[in-house]
Amino acid sequence: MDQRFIYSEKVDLYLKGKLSESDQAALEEQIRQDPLLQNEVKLQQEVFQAIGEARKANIKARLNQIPVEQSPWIFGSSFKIAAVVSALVVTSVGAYLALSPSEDEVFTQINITSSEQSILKRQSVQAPQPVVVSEEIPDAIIADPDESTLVADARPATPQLSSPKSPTIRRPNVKEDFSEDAVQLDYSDFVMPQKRSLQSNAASEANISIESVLDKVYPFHYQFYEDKLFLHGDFEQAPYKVIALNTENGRRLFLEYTNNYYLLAEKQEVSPLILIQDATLVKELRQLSAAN
Amino acid sequence: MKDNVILDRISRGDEKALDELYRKYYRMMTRAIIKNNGTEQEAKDIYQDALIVFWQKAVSHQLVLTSKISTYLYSICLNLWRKELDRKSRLAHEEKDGVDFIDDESQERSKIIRECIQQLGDTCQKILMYYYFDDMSLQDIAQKLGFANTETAKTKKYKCKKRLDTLVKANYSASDFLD
Repeated sequence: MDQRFIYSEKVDLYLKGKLSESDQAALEEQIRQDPLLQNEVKLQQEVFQAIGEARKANIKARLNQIPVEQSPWIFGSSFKIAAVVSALVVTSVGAYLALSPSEDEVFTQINITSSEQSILKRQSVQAPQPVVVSEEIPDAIIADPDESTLVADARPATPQLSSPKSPTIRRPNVKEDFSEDAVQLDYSDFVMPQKRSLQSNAASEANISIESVLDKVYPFHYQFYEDKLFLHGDFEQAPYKVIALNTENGRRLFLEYTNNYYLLAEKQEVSPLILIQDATLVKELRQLSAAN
Repeated sequence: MKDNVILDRISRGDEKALDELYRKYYRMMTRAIIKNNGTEQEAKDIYQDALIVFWQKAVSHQLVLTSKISTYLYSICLNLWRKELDRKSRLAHEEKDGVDFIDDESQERSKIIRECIQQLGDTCQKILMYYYFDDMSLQDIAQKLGFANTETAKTKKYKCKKRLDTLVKANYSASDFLD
């Protein structure tokens, strides 16, 4: 290598890509024919590159000193799940508040039917079936799960309310030919709906009547029949519970049994309980179950 | 700070404007990379590289913005990230036989030159970086470094380059890399 300092403005411009096409072609031809020049250009290329790297490192070191707002996505998938669940809770609570009637609304509705019956008491009021024809009876109102229904144990649950659908309350139509004599109130199968806690709307143990059926033909199956969940098989070994997850696409039910989770499609056919394998969903259900 | 002000300041070599730009779009740009399977560190590297490209083009007066700075930066980020993904994919499948040796030798030479650069004074380093990497004009360099005129910048650049070349050649000779 030639140890002398050979400065060439032309080589500088060449390496910067600023030579005209003709000058570039001429220089390249010269480089091909002159091994010394070839070495020199190669060295200069390396020097160019090293200066560039040093400059980049210099700028990056400067930028790294600048305080910046970290992206929330760095918290990874668990953060995303938490965010989704939070959004779900907010959406569900909002939907609940928008759709569910207040206690006053419920009583107002019932009072219409019972206005002629001064003996009716708030706690035991029931739409009198012979007289009142309601377009949608208030069985869609979600009852507040009490202690006994929250932890569904191996005992068959007492059939109470049907599935906790989003409440849609309409005023019952009152018959014009109403007569006091015709009122025969029957409160036997009605449980006064109470306002449900807000938190339980996004994900909760569903207040669903459950019955376990010892079934040898279908040992680990389930079915919904008349809004009641029948578990076919031996479910006496461990407690089970049903978790309702309200999503934008509607309610999804899951069975928790021996620390495993199974999807419950609300259909009448006897269907096998299929284990949920999706680790993310299982984790989410476990967290939600623990939180309730 | 508006785009035209930022661009004007950066094209005059104002590094503080670059700092502000970096802070302004950090979250937006890194999030785009992270959403495309990048880590936080990769996202940060890519965004910094994109800013350096922006800086180079602006400071050498080669940048004509036809969109917002954020849109321009975003497209550079995505292009760089695509290249990085390609590179990672190639590395995963590449036979490394014979490649390592060349890379090692090249890296060793690069290291020698970087050490030589470190031996230069601060002003010399800046002049060479501004001239050879940023591609700033001698006039802008003179202004930025407070030289009397362009001619002073030119003379200093020549002397600094001579010093660096001499150092590099001495170090190259001391090693066995070249004949």
